[in-house]
Amino acid sequence: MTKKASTPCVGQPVVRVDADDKLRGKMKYTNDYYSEDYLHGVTLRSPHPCALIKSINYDSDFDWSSITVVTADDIQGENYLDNFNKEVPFLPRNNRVNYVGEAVLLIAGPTVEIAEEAKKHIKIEYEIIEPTLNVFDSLDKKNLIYSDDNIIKEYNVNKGEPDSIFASAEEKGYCVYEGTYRTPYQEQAYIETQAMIAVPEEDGNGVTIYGSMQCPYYIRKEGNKLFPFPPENINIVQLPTGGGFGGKEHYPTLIACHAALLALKSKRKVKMVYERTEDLEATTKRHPSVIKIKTASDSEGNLLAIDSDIIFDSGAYSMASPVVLARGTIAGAGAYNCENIKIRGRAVATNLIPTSAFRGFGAPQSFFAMERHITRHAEKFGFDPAEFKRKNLLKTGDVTATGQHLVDPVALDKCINALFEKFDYPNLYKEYSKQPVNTKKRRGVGFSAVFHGAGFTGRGEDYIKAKAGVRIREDGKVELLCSTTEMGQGMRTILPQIAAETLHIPFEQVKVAKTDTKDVPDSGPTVASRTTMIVGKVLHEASKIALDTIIETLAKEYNYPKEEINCVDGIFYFNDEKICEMKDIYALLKKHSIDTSFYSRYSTPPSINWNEKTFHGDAYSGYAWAATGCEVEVDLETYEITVLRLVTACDIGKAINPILVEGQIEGGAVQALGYALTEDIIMKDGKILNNRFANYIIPTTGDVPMVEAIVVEEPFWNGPFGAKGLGEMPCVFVAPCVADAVSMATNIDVCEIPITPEKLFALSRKGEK
Amino acid sequence: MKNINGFLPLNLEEALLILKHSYKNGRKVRIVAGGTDVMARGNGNQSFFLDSVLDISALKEIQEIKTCEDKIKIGAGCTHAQIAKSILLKNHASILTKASSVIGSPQIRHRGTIGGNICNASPVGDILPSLYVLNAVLTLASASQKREVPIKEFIKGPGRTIIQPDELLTEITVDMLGENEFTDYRRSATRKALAISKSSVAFRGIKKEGVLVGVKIALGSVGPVIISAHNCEKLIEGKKIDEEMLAQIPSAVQADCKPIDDLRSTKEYRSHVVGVFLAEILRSC
Repeated sequence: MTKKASTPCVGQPVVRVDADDKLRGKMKYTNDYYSEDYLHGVTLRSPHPCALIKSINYDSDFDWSSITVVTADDIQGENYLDNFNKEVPFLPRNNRVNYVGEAVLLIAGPTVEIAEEAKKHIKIEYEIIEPTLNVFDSLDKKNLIYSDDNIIKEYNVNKGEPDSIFASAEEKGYCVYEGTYRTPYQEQAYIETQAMIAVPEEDGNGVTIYGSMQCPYYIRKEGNKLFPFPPENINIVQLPTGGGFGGKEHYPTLIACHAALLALKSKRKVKMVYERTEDLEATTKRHPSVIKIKTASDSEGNLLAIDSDIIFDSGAYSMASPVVLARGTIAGAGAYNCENIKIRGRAVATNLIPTSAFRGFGAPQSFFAMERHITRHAEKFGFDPAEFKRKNLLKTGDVTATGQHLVDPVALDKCINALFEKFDYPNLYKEYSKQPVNTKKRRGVGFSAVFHGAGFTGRGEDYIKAKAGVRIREDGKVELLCSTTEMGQGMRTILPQIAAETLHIPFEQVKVAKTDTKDVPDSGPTVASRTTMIVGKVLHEASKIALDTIIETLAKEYNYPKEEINCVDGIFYFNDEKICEMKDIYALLKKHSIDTSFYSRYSTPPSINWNEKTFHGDAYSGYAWAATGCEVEVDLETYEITVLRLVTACDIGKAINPILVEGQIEGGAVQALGYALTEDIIMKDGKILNNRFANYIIPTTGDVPMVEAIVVEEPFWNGPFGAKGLGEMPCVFVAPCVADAVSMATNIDVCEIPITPEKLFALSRKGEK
Repeated sequence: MKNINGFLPLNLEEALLILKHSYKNGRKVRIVAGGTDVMARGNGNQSFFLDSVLDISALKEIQEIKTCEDKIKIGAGCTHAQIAKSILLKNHASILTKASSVIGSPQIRHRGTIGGNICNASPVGDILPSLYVLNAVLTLASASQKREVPIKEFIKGPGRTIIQPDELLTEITVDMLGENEFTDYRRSATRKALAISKSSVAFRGIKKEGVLVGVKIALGSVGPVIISAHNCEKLIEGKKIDEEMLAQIPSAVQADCKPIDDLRSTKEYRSHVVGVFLAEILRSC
């Protein structure tokens, strides 16, 4: 008997479900909600990087009748975010502020203007404390900001005996090379600024918070600790979110709870929306880094030892620094196979803007340093960089820095082959090396190889135990129940593709339920490239359970052998005879007293062993791989850089939706081009000076080269239909490529991003002296 | 919260009367042409809008580009987009179309006006260096009189002009370029659109028997106002363009401009790039 097959859905370029509303401007974002009875919340922020609040004085001539003010004294619960080291306050603890822009108190008024006016009538008296404004002063412990050493977190990776390799290097004639690399802050630059609306219960015994966010359950959990009512009385509803990129992982918890504090005190709905300048000045950024690397190879080009010292500037509070550092440390040896590795990663406290999650999560810094370093090492000792890298990159069966035995196929070779077919880096490298030196413009090429592990590090997913489900509705439609958020990446399209394919029903019949913690389970935060691979997997399992249960129930109801029942495009058949449709299933399940919602949970595969204390073991269950090349042209007089081509081959296991995959790669690559070339935060005494999009320079469409994305599919056994995580990886592989290419074109040794014409000019002058 | 009056006059006479009466009554007026700068600067800063806002975008009288004897008259309300695609300007003052076409983005070019750019008096204004080399003369009108002022005398410092509270900039008169006249405009910016110039060069000269005469050079973003580069002009005027002369450009540029370090660039880079641009322009003409 031949069974009819359902129309395929996974692997199809389905048009994203939110495209129409977003393109037409019909999508309603948080700031589009307005009601006369809202109060509007604003934040009074510290102008000092480190100070004690001595007094708060309210102008007695001002009319305070319509104003609500919340200070730290109003907080009844715990005044810290539990997710971290219990030191990130909602409002200042012990009257101390630790960075410029830290919230001092909150004000709500009938309009933003009135609230802002009230702000001017509050005078704060500060006692200024000497701030620590860079990581080296902080490591010198000039002032103590955090614990007794200012180190928020330290990780050490030790493999083999790198020290003895370096010690014997001279005697054995090894090639040893050292370098120091620097990376800047980066602003997430989501198009929608942070925004929340808090609606208190009339009896004051609960609150619902609506807004722009990545992680509804993070807010709920922190709210439960902050507010004195039963856990179920706090609910979080995610509204359409205009980009997150990590910037809406943890920070929204602060603004959500701020809005809720004002709402509960004023007994009114409170809306808080940050202006762009406020958002740029006060919200978390990517960690700046200083990374020192020492490598040794033999004269054959075998990489023998790596020693990497990674310092991340965490700013005033830990936020997600420990976990960002974990990923950065794991990436500290790049994607190289090496017997002897030492990596020391430290996240250091300063009195600067707190740094936290940002697409790539510590890996962009480490991969920039390591990939650039390996190219320099190769060139220094006369190796061809591509050959040197290929010789030493991880292969199936190798053991990573943390001691993970890579038993699953390592697709780097596949990616590199696919890349070089389209972008012949080895030959371009040779050809461009022959360019004359004294020309107006010169070209250069770069090449990088990276990995990105999806999901939480080690067995971190076990702390979350992501739960998600499918719900069969009365009308035959299927709703996906998860707290995973749509922030532009396309999850409201991709997850239904996975469920539709698994359930054998048409894509149009599946949609993601409203992201409301009252209704959907905690499928974990929308971070770490984990949505497709992990939440997709849970929904795939839940869909299988649903389909099995339905078929079993049909078998029981109609007395057919269940093996003979199948579903094709939402219609159930016994052999070729139609039994019923999806819209009949709800009643059927009810009749048999079966719950119409089916859930599953994620657990890390048992084969994954990870020791958080020794930082040793299987860092990730599934790795995505990428090989990337780029070509630039540099004007050798003005040092203006034009990126001509960017080609990348990414192994993501399975492209659930090829068009969205391309979009993720292109979008991420553009964000990374900004990181490589123009984006930086400029500060004076801890205050951010470039606080507008007119002076914080992200790329425009005019700056974007042709980005060619090649999708390589090496299926991951534990991913839904073989899929791995993708979202962050494009932010990882671009900067080192660009730095290599610019260095080649200019003969200026680039070890720092962003690579601005000003920096190249200054370096060229230094060389002349 | 105070109330702000808003005016949308439909003709020039009405606009000038509003200015006159406001001035008499001591009410300060914020004039809005395209609004591309005003709206950004007034965002969250209501006091920027003063007592009244006067929107001059409906004044058809100041939106024309026409010839008048050997000059071109450009209405102050012409948008950058209008200037960028004007055939008349392309044929007779092409430097203006080139400079206008790099301003901001398509959206900004369709709203922003030449008059607004001039009255902002920013040292980074993209259109200004070109107007300097075209000997632009500005017509300032009030209800009672009209006066004409060369652009160089009009701009006094960053954001400072000599315009009076009852006056409106209505017209810009520029030279029509002769047959053998050569102009060019170059600028450096951190990105390809929506970017503010880090430094810019406007150049004008006549090629005559292998040398350049009538050389006029204006530099943007390298001083508090647009700089007329007299040292550079002197170096080039009447001389043959050869490597020896080109080698002297950096020191002439150094003598002319007073750049600063700011969020966009460094002073060293700025003057370096001005020299590079100038040499490029000379080589190309």
